[in-house]
Amino acid sequence: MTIEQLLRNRIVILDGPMGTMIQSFKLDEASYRGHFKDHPAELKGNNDLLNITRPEIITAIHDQYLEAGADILETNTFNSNAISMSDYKMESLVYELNLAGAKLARNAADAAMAADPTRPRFVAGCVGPTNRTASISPDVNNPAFRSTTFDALVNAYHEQMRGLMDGQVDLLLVETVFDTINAKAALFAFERYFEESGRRVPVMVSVTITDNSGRTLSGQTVEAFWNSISHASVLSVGINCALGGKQMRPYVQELSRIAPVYTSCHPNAGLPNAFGGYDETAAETSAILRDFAANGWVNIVGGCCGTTPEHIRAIAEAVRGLKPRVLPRPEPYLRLSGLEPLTFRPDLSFVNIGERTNVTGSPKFAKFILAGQYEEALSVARDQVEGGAQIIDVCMDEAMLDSEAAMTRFLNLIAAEPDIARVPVMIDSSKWSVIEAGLKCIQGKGIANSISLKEGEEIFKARARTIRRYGAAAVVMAFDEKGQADTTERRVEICSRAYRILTEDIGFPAQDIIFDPNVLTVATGIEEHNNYALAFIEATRRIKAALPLAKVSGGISNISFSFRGNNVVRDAMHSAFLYHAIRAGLDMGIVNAGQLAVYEEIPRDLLELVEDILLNRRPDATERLLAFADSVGKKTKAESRENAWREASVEERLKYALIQGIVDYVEQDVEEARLKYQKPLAVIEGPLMDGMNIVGDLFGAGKMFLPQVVKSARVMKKAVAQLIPYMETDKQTGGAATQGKILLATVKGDVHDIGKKIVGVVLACNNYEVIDLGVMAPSEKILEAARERQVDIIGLSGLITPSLDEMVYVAGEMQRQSLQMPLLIGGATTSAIHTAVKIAPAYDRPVLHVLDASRAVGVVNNLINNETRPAFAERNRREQDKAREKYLARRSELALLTLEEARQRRPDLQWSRSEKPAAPSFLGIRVLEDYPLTALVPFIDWSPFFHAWQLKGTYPRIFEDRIVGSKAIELFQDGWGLLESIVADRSLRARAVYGFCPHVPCRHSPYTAAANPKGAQRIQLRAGRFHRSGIVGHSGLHRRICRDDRWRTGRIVRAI
Amino acid sequence: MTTGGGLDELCARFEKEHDDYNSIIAKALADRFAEAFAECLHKRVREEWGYGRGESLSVEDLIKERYRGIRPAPGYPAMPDHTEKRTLFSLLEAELNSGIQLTENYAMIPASSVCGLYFSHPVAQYFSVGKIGEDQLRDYSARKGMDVAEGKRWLGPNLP
Repeated sequence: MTIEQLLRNRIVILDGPMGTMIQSFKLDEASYRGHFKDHPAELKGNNDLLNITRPEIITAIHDQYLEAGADILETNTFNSNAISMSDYKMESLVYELNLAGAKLARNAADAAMAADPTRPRFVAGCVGPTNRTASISPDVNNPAFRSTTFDALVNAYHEQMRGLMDGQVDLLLVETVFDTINAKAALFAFERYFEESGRRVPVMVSVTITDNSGRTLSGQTVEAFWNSISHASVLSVGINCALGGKQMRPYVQELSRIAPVYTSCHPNAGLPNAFGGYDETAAETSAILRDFAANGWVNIVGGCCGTTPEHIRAIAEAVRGLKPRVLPRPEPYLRLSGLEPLTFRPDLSFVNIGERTNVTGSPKFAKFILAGQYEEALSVARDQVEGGAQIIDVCMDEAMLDSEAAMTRFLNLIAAEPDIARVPVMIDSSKWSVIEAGLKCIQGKGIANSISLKEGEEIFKARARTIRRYGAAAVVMAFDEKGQADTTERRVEICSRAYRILTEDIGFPAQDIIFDPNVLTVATGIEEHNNYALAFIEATRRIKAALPLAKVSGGISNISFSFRGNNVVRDAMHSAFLYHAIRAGLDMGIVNAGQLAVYEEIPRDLLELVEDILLNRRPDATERLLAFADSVGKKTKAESRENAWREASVEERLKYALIQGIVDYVEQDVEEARLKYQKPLAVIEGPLMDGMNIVGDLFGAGKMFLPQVVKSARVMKKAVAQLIPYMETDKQTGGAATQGKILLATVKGDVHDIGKKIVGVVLACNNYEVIDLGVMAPSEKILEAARERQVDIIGLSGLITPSLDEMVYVAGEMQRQSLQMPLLIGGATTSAIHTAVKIAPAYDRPVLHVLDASRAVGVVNNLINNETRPAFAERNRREQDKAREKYLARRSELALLTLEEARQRRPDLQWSRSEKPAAPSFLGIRVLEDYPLTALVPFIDWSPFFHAWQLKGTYPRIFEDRIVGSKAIELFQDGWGLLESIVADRSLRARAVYGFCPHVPCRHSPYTAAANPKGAQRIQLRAGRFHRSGIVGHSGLHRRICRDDRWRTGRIVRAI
Repeated sequence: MTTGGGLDELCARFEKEHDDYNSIIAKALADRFAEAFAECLHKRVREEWGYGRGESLSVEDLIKERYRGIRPAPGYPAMPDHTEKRTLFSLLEAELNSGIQLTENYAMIPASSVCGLYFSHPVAQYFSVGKIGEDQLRDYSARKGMDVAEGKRWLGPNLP
């Protein structure tokens, strides 16, 4: 019996996870290692290696799943590809791992079938997603970077499946797809292998929906994902991992509705609990899958993380006798996708394809790309999508460019911008290699633009096949061996021939064919050109009628090329041309999406002139429109209101960007200013400082908040960095005249520096040169830098209490070495009183405590200014004198209890009535290595995040705060964005060690003797009641807890 | 526990782009992660200790410390003596097991690291150690095995 036959008869059971089962064997490094004794990498955790080193364990797990009722066994090869195996330095073993894994499952399944020949069992070669993503950059600063590529993935998958196929698997299962490019590469590799070997097995695909947003990790919705892989004739598509069945429900239902192939679902046993474990019982999981089955949504069910043979048994029982899902038969629409689907339903009127991201059509875009200004180039794409483009056309055909590289880079950048990447991409090039480079970068179903019969049928067919293998639709130009079609007849003839070849010879779906019957320029003064528009419209009508399901598109702006420079006329021509072409059946067109005029709103007189040309109604049409064009002049549409500030002078633009913290235009504006001012220094001292002065004033007046100021500072820093190289060539190394130099350092032995950093940024905003020595700065280094750089002020920062002593020491050293500049003190444990009592007396120049960043500027201004300094310093001194007196007075009044008195006042805790401390479940140490950050996110207390930025309030109520609410929202969005990329890229690592230690009674404490020998807590409690009396009984922890070291007995458990 | 591994590299990348804004956000996030880790581990410990198994507390409940027991840390008001970090580190072999180092003044490297004690007793509560007299200083120093001058150094803020 084949798998298809079985699927027609009943719901098929897939087995459960390997990893969870392997964990239960608690294998150590030696067990994993087997005969790989001298292998240079740690091998523990390399589960797939067990296929070779501990095959009996894998066989035992297979047997358990077979026994539980699994119809399909997955091979233990989830990570057996060269990319994942590089973590273990085992790339060279990939073929063997897969071969061995396939054989183990094969033998187990064969043995089960021998025991019960009535029941077929199948082996699915398990193909994981690899541990790298081709759609997301691991580097936040370089969103175009990729840690792997389509080609590398194809090679890795090809090698893996070779082992699997040689091991005689019945199926291939690409599962836990978190990035559709990775999945497409797997499908591409399979197809190549099938073609090479002549042997084909059915392919199953299963995607992972990461969370309740209903999207994959790389951002696609379920339908967008299906559209992206629907080109590969898969046996089934499904959902697994990340979520429990309960959370998957809407996505399973959705997939069931849209996919005309079998569907599968193998959920986790619920969502992970706080420790990464799974709590859902077999009964719960199976009830959820039974519900899916009863609704007719699934054909294949099984389990993923946290499920066990017990779950599989319960699932098999729960769905027994239920009818398998009946496959839907969706309409043969053209279904594209970016992160979201775009379906060409009949009710979808004309589709706009944004044309501005084209170096041949848009001088602005070309300028950005040639100058390597990809950030700005991205904004062109964004404007198109915001302006209504449902697809964007990207073209990099320019002689000066490495077009493949430019295409790759730009598409990779787009992938990082969800507001652009949501729409499908049309990869536009006359060079096949550029199209292919582009197809390797898009995870959605896009369009290759274009192929044609220009170089003959064989090349045409080969390219169409390749496009299909990448999963894209294709634009076919009306071009053949004889040349470009310019009449209606030639257009229809070429398109009909191409249609026949594509649909009949190579099985290209008709709905994925998009004809471009050539929009050619009219009103050129050449008589033969007068009928071009009409011929296009007529050809469209005939193609649509004769070639079922095929689509028609065109590059609309070509039509008006002879009126370039006159946008009023051009816009009217485009609108009128589209109006007629759409009525003839035009499905989509490459247009300037933001600029289409509404047909009905074209002035009557202009419309008539334009239509005279398009419809070739009178011979003098061109002359008449030319005359009109001169009269309307060359008006252009105003930029959108948000960008109105871009029209102002360069000085105003820089000021605006500084105040608003906008970095997008810094480079071009600074360059413009530099050329205008000749001297880079003049730019800094002129417009840039003017802007920053306003920022400083607004901040001082409480009208701007810290996050905004830091953003403004970022603009300033980028601007200055851009000017510095010119200053050096100008020999103006003296630099801009700042108000003064401030040296900042976190003192020796201390590492925290957020507050200090913020102070530095705020001071820099106010035109101070800040020299930041970083953390753990020893006294000598601080003093040396202060002398060498001739700083005006030193600022010391510290978080922990011992740093207070260190600050006193630095102050003393400043005194000893006769430094003159004022000393500022700041940081969490510092205080005005400590500064007055302990630090100020050590140094006879002004020593000031600065409460927070917002005070720093005022203090520094007053100290720098020769006029204000004496009075300011004097006032500080008087205040500190007063504080000292008060402190000393209070100290003399302070009556402390003696130790004996304190001990006698111990609280009566009545132990007998309160609960006795329980014994923990283990003693010893546990280590959490590389703990998943995602598991920590729910535990985050966000309020201090806002406090770090001096936004006062409690999360989430802070968002509603009348004054700082909007700033808090903005900050939170920025913070959350970075958090997401930190989690995705794992750019922070979480590690922990903890343990339960037995307590040893403390002989100094009168309490511990008999009443409760286990209660280490009691000591704390007693002190708690009498906190004024100090720390009696608080002896060294170590002595109390572990004088007897035997508890540890070397028991270190690596959890997670 | 630490969530500071990789933070320096991350911030260096931002600062290379003159982007202090994201650099500061990154530091603040790493701190949040470290505190979240302390909370997350505390929950795990309560379960492994047994008494926390039945609790069902929201994040807000956790932030408001509505669980049983307390979590004091060296260097904070309930246990001002930073040298107790050394005790804790040697008990847990923390330098080896977590990669966190202590500076000469007992700050933890990398930043965004947290250490402390979990106490389980139902009536355990936080308190502040106030000012102590010479006799307590001597007694404490003796029990810690340090001379009085050193005891004074580490208990400085608690001495009058």
